Amino acid sequence: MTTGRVSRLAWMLAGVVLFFAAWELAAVYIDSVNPRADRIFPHWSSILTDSVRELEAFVPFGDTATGYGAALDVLLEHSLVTMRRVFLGTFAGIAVGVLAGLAMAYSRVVFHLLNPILNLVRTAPLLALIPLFVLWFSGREVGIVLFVAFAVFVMMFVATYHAAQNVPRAQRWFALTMGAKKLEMFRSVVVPGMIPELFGQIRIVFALAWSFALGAEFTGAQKGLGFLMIQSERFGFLGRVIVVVLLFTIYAVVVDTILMALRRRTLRWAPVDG
Amino acid sequence: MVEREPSLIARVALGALGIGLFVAAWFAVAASVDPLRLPPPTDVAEVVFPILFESRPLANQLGSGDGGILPHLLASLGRLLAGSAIGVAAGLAVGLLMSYSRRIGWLLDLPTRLLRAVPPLGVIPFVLVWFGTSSTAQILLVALFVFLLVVVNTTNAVQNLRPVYARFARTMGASRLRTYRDVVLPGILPSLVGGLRAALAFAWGLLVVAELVGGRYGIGRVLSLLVPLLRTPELIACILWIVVVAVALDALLLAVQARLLRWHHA
Repeated sequence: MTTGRVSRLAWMLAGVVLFFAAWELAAVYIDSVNPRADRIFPHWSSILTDSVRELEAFVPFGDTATGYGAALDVLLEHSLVTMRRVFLGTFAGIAVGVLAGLAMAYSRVVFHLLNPILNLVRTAPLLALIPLFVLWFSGREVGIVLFVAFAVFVMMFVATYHAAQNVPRAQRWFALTMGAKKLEMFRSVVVPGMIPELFGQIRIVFALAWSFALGAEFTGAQKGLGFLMIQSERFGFLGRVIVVVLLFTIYAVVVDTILMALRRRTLRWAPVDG
Repeated sequence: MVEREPSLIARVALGALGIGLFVAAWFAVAASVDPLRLPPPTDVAEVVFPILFESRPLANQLGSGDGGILPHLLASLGRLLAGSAIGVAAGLAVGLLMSYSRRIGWLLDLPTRLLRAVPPLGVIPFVLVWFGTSSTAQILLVALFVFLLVVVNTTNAVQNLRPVYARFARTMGASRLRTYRDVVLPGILPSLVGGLRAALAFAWGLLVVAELVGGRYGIGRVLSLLVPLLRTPELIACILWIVVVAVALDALLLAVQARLLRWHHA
């Protein structure tokens, strides 16, 4: 290792230390001026111990479990609920969105049929549709999954169309010149050719899907990590919120890492940066 | 065979047909479900303009007033713009500093990545605990989101700028600071404005959710009042206005982009 890399590593490490130290210093200061400091700006030491354990408050009625074990059970249960919503919604949204995007890229007639509506939906803030889904489904499970699916669908629809359009015209025409039928050309040139760009979009969509699920859980859910967060916030326990946010962030990063590994494996043939 | 592009008349007709099909589907679904869930489009059309200036369903609801949703919409828009302005200014400053000094770049690299990994909506409980339901909370939420995006966009854009530009200016005797002002800053502008359009579009939805979850005033607060009242036509009308603001804002940014970057050939 050269000295340049050592010094780079040292500075980056210093950045992390500084970040957590700045929080701790702020916590010490707020502790001295605000009697509720342990709730609204907790020390790291109490976040990682007390706040985790306090999540036992969410064990279902009738269950008498307490302590760290109960808290971990709560986290696990609500994590699974949220993950099911995120994965179901995202997979459904990607599947339908890619199909619709392909149809739009395949036929100019379909393109002009859907384009005006799509242009409107694309600029619409998808998060603002949450109240509508809450009202339609009264906060039931299917409403949350459908909202995530719909938001992902819109994003993938647009992304797939653009990815298909971005496959170089020369490649498409070459296949046609060589005598391929339109459908054959589409299947063997456009679909594989758009996959590298599509993968980038899937990463973005997955990252946002966690936020879509959170938004839906904030407003209408009785379960899930978003529900834990907003309930903890209502009672002013920021430490508990932080525990859940940290967990949430870890999930999002893990899924993203898996997607990147998948990309490397499946797209060995694609040029880097392609 | 390469498919031929439909004629202009055919394109307009197809577009109209698409919208027509959408409205017809809406009527069909509305006819078969409880009107409380989905009213026909005519019901929404009836309230979409009156609701701007008068809103009986809102009267006497906590602090919402009965002067229509226009003041709420404008208040939310003001927060969006204020938060974005703070975010852009701070993000540009920090991003430029991070690329100007290698050490500062290394120092702030992981903290910004860490904050970026947190889903944006996860920040809402924090601003609510710290700043309550005030507009400070919502402005800061937008500011933080835009700040993080602009920091990343700025450092990436500086990295992607062809080094020959800055080197040329340096060779001609410009100081490093001058090079940054006259070469790097204009050079990264195209990708910055592009990123800002996406940032603002998402921030608008983020703000609506923040107001929905914990706000005293604003369009998100209006939505949260309408849901328990089962005022579906008014709710859809509000969402339509939120979309209108989003479309207008995007068009405005596009115009600014075209004007600001008239020297730039994409």
